[in-house]
Amino acid sequence: MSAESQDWDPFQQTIAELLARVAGVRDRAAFLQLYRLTAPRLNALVTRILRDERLAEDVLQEVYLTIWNRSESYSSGRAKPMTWMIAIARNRAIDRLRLSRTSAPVHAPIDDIDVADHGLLPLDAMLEHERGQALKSCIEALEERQRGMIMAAFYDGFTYDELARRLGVPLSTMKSWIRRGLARLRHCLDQRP
Amino acid sequence: MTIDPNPSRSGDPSILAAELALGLHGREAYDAALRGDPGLRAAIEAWENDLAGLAETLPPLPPDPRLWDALRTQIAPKPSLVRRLFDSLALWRLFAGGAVAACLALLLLPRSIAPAPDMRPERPPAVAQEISAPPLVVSLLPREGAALYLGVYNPQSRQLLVVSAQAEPMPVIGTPRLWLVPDDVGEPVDLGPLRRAGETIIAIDAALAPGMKAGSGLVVTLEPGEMPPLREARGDVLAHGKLRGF
Repeated sequence: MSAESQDWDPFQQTIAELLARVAGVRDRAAFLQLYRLTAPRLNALVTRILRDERLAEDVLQEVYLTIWNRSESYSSGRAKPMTWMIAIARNRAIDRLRLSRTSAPVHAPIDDIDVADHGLLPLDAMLEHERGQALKSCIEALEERQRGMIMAAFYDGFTYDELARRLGVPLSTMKSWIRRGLARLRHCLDQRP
Repeated sequence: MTIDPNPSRSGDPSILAAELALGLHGREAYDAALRGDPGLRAAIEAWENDLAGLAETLPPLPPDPRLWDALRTQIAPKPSLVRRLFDSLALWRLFAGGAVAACLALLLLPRSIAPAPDMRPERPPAVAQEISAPPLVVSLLPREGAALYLGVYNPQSRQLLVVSAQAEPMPVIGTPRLWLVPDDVGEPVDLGPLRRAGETIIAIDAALAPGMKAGSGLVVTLEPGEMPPLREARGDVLAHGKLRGF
């Protein structure tokens, strides 16, 4: 276990130990425990992105097979284990979302991206842990438009091009909005204790 | 840290990392960045660590319990082809007498696949003498990759056992069909459909038996569906192999 991982909370340390057992000796009991501890969280994320429970289950199955097959590639010195697993789940769900989006019209109405919804839905359910609190206050401090665009990118996987087209603004304008928001977010997160 | 009023002009690597972590530049750019500059990769992972808080704020949603059942099946150790063939009841039926089958399996498998340690018959030389008409074997290989099927032919009973070498049924639309190519150069003759998983036993017609010899080819094509014997193969070739003796 790396020096960084010594500072993790007990949950992250447990997940890291289980991942190590899966990677080392293909321990299926450890994998089951890992699944029980993390599946409700990853399922919530994948379902939130896809907004379709059946599709989310298919994707979640792929996510856990990826974790099983790639557990060796997880490095505890680089990222917290839940961060690594969340990245796999989010990327896989967004890949699936993009597949289903290929037949959607390019110029969707502006209502397609509900700025207020993207800003508020997850925040209402924030956990009472430090990172959640810091992130919550920092995101709430953003302008509504910046917050909405960042949430749309995180939960819907929209690229700059797609966001600009959907909102009918020049690409440079969209980049400027989001970059300002990200800079404010970075600044705010860096101020946390 | 001072907030740049227009970070796009500043070229702030932290903002680029955030954009990549969010996927604003697309998936390919994200994947390429992770493979590239270690500093940028570390910055992306730092952002992912922060943004993971968004995912952790969602109320937990337990998945359907059947999902674990499906996963458990998929991560269960797959029996090796050696073990599946050795455990095949059809192999033992094809060659009456268990010792003959054990000897056959021992002789057949080491050429392409490591044998299971417990497969060695107690007295192979004596058993080998029981095989009056030596069996023929074939590995049916795609252009690239591992064998799709393994075949064992018993000239005495004119039965051909074909076992799928894939752990899962082949994800193809259509029916794999087996063809005999005498001397590996003649016109293909339809031997019938193959199961996509498990075993298929094919009774070889007496008229075709002379062609079932070492050096003749067997070809698997993908045909539209189950159908009576075909005059010619129309589908794509999935695999090919030559019959060989010991």
